[in-house]
Amino acid sequence: MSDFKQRSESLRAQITDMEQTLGTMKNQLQAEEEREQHDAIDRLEEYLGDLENKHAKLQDFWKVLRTEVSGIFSGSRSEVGKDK
Amino acid sequence: MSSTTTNTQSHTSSSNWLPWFKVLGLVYLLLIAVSMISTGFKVAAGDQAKELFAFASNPLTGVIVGTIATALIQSSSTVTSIIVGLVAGGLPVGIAIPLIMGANMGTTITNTIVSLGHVRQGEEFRRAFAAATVHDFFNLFSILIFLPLEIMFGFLEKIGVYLSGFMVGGDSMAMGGFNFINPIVKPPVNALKDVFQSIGASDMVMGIAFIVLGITLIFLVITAIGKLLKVLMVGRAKAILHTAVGRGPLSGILSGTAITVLVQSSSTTTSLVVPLAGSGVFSLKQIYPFTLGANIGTCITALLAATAVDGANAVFALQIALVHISYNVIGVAVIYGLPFTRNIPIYAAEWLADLAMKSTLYVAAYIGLVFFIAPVALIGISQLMGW
Repeated sequence: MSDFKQRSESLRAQITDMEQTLGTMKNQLQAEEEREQHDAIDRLEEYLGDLENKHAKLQDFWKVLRTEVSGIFSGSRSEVGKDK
Repeated sequence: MSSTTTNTQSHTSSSNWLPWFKVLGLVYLLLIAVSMISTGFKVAAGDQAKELFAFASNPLTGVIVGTIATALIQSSSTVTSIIVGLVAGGLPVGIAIPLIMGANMGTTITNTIVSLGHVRQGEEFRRAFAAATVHDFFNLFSILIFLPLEIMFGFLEKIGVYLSGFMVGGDSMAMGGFNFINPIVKPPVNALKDVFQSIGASDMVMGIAFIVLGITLIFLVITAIGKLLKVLMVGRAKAILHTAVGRGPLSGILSGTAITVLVQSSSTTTSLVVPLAGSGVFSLKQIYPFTLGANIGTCITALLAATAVDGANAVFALQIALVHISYNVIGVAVIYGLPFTRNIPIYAAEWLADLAMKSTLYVAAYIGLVFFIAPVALIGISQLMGW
């Protein structure tokens, strides 16, 4: 058997091995993801309870927004101060 | 000992049934409320129903009114049930179709608000916000495609006429299979009518009072049904979701539909998936079909509301309910079915979520603009231009 043939056969065997490993890992990943998804679904009651707090969510968002807006304005004021 | 066991068993079984009786009672109240709106609208507007809604005869205004009303009430089921009642009272189906499209859009604000709860969680917020707004962009895209088609060809109205004719066999609804609901709904409405007549209320006063009471009742009933069903159906919803895991997009759409039918609220279904996406356990691509199913499942309430209507306009009430379901099914079939349109809402939601990560100002601007400022400005412009 020529050197080239031997090398190509060994490479093909390696590729087959890697493809098998890849397939196994993909299946493992999918199983892992699906297990996580089932666990998350089991916590559905928590999420349902959480839906009742829309007002609190809006308030929290409002706080973050206000901080960001006041940050922008104080930033622009200090920029103006620097110009002077 | 055995009598104690029997007592406990009978107590448990009655406590199991009690919430379901409550749901049945609430559905009955919903049907009465829809009948009240249609009766009130008929009494107050008479033949002038079309003129009364002339302001919404511009389809763009109709979409905007539907959007704002639903965004404020945060329940598309409430708005679509009211629309069914109004159509039964004489509102033309052609005017009601854009209102229905707007209701679809307006309901998306609820899950967007839910996603704001993740605002301090960085990457989690990006994923949650994208999962919420993918529903917005789908509905917006759906309006952009189907509203012009409806204006040009009236295809949804034609589908509604065809399907309602198919269901009632061309006869009036009074002879249709839906009529078993009517005899149980009419007596309380007639009794209330008698009360108003006995105190000498004019037709106009009675009509307006019926409409206001009907709308209030629908809002209260749908809120109460939603709360009850959330508790009653959580186990079933979990089972459906468990079954859908790893089974592809069609299963996602079907499970979204089924859960929305069970909890009678698309915003509950679409809000539930926000934390699931936020945690990163479900990807946006996996969440997306589920939210589309919610669009389809929510149509059951309008269909239910249509069963409460009798008389000559009953067929139109059924038509608008069927238009609602056709619009949502066709929307999913076209936008999700075509590979080149399928991912547009995903790209748009991811783009907006990236902006939201940079600054919450984008989020505030988006909500304000899409749900309130742009609609009001468009109504103003269309009225000024006389469109």
